[in-house]
Amino acid sequence: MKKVTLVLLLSLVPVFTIAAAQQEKQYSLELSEPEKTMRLNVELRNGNVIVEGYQGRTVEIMAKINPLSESELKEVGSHRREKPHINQKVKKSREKSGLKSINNISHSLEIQEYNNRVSINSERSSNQIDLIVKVPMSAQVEVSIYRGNEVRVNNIKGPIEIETWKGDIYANNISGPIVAETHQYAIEVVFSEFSDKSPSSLTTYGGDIDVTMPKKAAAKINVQNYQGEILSGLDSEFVATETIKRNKKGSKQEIIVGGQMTADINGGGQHITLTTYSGDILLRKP
Amino acid sequence: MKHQDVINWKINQLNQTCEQPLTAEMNDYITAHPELAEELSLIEQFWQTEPPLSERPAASVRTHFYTMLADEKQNLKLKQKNRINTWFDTVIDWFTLPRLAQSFALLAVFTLGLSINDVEVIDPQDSSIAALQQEVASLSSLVAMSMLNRSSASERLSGVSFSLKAGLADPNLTSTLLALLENDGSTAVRLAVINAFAQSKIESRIEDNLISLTVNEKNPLVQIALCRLLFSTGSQNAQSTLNSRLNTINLNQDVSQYLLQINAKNRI
Repeated sequence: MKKVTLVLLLSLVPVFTIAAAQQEKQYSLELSEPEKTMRLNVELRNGNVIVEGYQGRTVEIMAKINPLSESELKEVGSHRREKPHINQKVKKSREKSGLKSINNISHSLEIQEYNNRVSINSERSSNQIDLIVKVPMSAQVEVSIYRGNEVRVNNIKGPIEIETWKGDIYANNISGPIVAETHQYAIEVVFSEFSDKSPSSLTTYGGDIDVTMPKKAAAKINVQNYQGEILSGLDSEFVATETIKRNKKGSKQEIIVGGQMTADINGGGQHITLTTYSGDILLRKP
Repeated sequence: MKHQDVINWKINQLNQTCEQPLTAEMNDYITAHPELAEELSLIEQFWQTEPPLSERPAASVRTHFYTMLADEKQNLKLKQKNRINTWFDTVIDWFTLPRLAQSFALLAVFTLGLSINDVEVIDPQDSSIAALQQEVASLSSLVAMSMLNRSSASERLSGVSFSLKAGLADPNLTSTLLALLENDGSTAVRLAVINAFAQSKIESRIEDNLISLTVNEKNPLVQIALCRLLFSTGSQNAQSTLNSRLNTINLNQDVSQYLLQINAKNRI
């Protein structure tokens, strides 16, 4: 199998050694087997990600690398160890007056393609990386941002997994299945079709979940929130799930109503679970 | 026209049940049969109590009379035999001894047949079916565990659904689910595992694991779901233990508020 490794060694390009400079790079990757489904894996520490599906057979990457300010850097934390390793020699403190700090943006982004799997990684916390990635519409997409901002996925018909901590998640014109998670922010998904291949799940702690289901989708919608509202524009009715447990000897019977609200649309089908603690859940039809 | 028709007419006339006068045809018939005329005269005389008979009837007449009487008696017997019974008579007939004996005999045969049918026959195929069912159950568990180890979160969610359908009786499957609950990177998968446990009976050995997971959990959404699971479906002992341990740690504000809302502390 053809292995293509493309590593951005930005330190080799003199123009990029200038501190606080935004850099924009574009790359095009050919897939090992373009006729087969590809898999995209994006892992960033800081940044925004937009993934667009298109009719082409290559992967187009546009990356903007923005160094973080001092305050932003303090917020996200330095990658340097606070305490030296036990085997590390304690460094002698040296005079630094008159010297200027050079923003180290080497090894900011690593892009690999192997056997139709494309991975884009950024491990350093000192830069914000904004990515726009164009992939074939049938791609499987996985995006994980540790401390970044929003993730947008458009026109993707394959499975999608998104995880971010401090950003909104938007998915438009997708088929699913989709498993998306964020912490305090919102998740907004518009299905053009609803795949019955595997279950879907949208989870956020404090944000709202806004889902538009396609007209002909057959699905079982499970919703669970503790403090927010559930608002539905769908024709199906929501019922509370109940568990009935009976002691074998008949001496104790317990009926527990609650846990989730469930609705079957168009007769029911593959599950989609929406969970938020304090946000609202909004369900729409096109 | 026969002799009997004329005699019947005569008897009915004497009995005043017939108002039909002697017809010309009858008169001609009687004229043509003198023995019939003698017989009619005898009947008339016999019918009248006074005056007594003046002379003894002829032997031939007497013989014919007695023959006629015997025939009439025979006819009466036949009529009684062929009499159509009413529904009441039919019902009464059921309770006659022969009928009762027949009914009891039929009931005895029926009861015997039923008792024979109820006898359990050990089918040698039952044991092989049970073994097959066990094999299918273990295969289902293997498939579920395979799905639970997939790299895709959506496939792991499918695995949790499949585990629930396969049943959580297999300890290996339960252990895999517990490991997933503790270590999986996807909150959705962990919440799905909790929902799966909520829909099945929690064994005591699992309760201890769940209590530890609840106390050490950092994700408030998962911690709340675990508290909900144990306080609604856990044993009294588990609830008490969980309550004690939760009181010793600093809880997230939302988790504390949730526990107060469900009145968890007053459940014990």
